[in-house]
Amino acid sequence: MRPVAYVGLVTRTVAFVVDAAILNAVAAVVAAAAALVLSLFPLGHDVRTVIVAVSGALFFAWVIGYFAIFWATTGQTPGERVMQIRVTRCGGAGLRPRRALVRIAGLVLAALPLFAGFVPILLNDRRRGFADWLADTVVVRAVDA
Amino acid sequence: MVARTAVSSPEHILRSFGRLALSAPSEAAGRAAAGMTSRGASIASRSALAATDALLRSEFLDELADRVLDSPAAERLVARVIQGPLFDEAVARLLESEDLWVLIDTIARSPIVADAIGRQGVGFADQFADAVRDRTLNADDRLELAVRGLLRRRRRRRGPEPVAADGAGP
Repeated sequence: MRPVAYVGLVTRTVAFVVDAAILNAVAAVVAAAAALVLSLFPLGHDVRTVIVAVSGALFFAWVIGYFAIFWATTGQTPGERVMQIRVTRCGGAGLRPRRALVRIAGLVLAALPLFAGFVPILLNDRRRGFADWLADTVVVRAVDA
Repeated sequence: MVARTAVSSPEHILRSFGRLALSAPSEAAGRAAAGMTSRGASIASRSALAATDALLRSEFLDELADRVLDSPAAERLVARVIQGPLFDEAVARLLESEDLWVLIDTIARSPIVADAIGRQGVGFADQFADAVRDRTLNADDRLELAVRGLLRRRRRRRGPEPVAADGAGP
């Protein structure tokens, strides 16, 4: 038993905004570079459609990989590091990759019904949302973790 | 031509001899005087240097400098120099000189300056992040309080709480 400060919705949202900025900035740079290279080749309409689909899939994989790898390794994404917060198991242990993937799925599911899955963060003592409940995690201050 | 030479030669010799006889003592006296003057100057310069050293070692000069610099006259003088055309001219010439930009470039490239700027940047970013963290933590509490008040639910237990190991639901 050791004291832990659980982190609320605003801090988590700011951390997510920082992560989203990093994700999109990197994706934009890579997309621009790829577009520059592809502009050298004459591409048909069908090929362009395939490239767009592949790019979308790559972006999807990039986003999932970003969160899953950071949560499963350091327990915090760069945005969470800036805000000095960390995702851990309820017992304080780190997340395994599978649990990190479950948490990502939980975040998506929580956002689908008009972000209703995040409302429990405001109402329970350990400030856990739907994704935390699904993956058995908590978000705590990194200085206390 | 022969007659002229015959007339002038003895006179010339006599005159030369006379000049030599007259000038020899005066040159010797001149050399002696010059030597004395040089020795005197050397002694005087050594004395002056010794006096200067003694003056620099003494506290008098420090006190004098302090008094001069603390005086309103010094301030007025500095103000006049800065406001006057001399200062503008000096600055203009300094800006025109290529050496100044070489100096600035050298300083800007120095690792010490780069390190200082880097540390300042990191310090500023840390400060900013600290401020954002403090505000968001406060906002967490306020938002939660507002929502709980709206739903008429009890307040969340304040302060650090023990970690539950069971992983129970929200």
